[in-house]
Amino acid sequence: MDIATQVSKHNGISSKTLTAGIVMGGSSSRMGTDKYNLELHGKTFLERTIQALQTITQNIVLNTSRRTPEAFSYPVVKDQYVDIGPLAGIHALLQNSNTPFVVVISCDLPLLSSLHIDYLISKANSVNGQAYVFRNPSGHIPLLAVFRTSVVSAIESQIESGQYAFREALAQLDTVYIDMPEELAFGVKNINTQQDYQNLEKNKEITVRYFGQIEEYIGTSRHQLYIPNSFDLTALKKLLQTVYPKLSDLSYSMAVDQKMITNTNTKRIQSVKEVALFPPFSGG
Amino acid sequence: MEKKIKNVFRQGAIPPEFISDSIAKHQSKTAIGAHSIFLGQIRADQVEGKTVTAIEYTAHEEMANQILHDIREATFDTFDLTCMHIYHSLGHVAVGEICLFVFVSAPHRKVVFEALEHLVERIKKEAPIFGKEIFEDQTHQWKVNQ
Repeated sequence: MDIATQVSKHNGISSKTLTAGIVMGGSSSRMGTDKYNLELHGKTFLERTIQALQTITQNIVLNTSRRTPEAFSYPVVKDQYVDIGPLAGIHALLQNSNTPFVVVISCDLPLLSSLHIDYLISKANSVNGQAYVFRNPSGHIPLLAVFRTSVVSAIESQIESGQYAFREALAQLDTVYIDMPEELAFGVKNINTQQDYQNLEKNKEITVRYFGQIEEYIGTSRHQLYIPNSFDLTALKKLLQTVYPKLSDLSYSMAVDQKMITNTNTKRIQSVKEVALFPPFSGG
Repeated sequence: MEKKIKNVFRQGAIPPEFISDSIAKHQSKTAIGAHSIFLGQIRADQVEGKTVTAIEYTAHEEMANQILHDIREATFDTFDLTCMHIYHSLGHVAVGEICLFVFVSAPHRKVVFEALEHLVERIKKEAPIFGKEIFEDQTHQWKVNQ
């Protein structure tokens, strides 16, 4: 990524101007249950999505297509249009938003982390557009997108004219397609089948902590990440530098489970609980 | 037996009274013949026309406590010391105030000088502690140990 262009342009998407809308969806025919209630390592998909958003904005709204039995700790907006797919959720979230931008995320991406959303927002801040969506190498577009709230009327016209396809709606807007970097692809796999769900067990929850100048640059002191067991520390480092390119310019050292590590390390994430990124020490 | 890991961190500046109390507590330890004390004080550095007014310290506390524990153990193994104490500030410490207090005691003088220098150098080099230097106009820069 070119840092210079990133700095020179900023569309003003920040925690203050952004609402995060979580599309909980209807019950899944292929899973046979509500996806948002599925659990992975003791946390539901919904709790995981909320966790990923908490370092981005406190302004979180849930979207459902129907009445749900639970009480939630965030406001819930219901679809105005029924049985038309994801556009209904996007429409409801934009219509009820009082911020100029809305990031819309579906609830079936349990490995999604704050890093994915930070990457999307940094890209969306650097290019003019009305909608910003990720595009996987396969061409698949997951429901993980930033919209200008003002496009709600265009989306409403689409729906009123009977065009319900998400892709079609994007084609009508000034949409910026952001190619998903390989390093981030693990976190944007939809969970549609029992097999997809079983495979999630091969992921590991780790805490990444940031200190001093690095905390200041990243904007938070820690992230909870769910990453594939197959990752090693080198892959984690590459992931962090993809999302936070300035890290490569900062001099930093790393500790794994509170032990300093030297050089590049092939230690598997599977056996790691905490990774810390330190700027130069300056005690005393 | 595994020794309990001490917490070296104190919120804010280390008050001079804390240091004098510390000295007083050692008067009952009559095998001691020499103390040596290092006090780190916040300096009003000038950077491009601006003056440092305070440092705000943060740390990976759990890890720093473990590292300082290990340093303390290794220093006891290397030097013939009776006592060793390390305290470091967290949070806001104004110019002129004390942020680091290292205190070593031994039967004889020579070893306390050597041990103290060794300790202070290792603390500065190895403990994950971070200082943010605050200027009078509330801007800041990140401190880097020389």
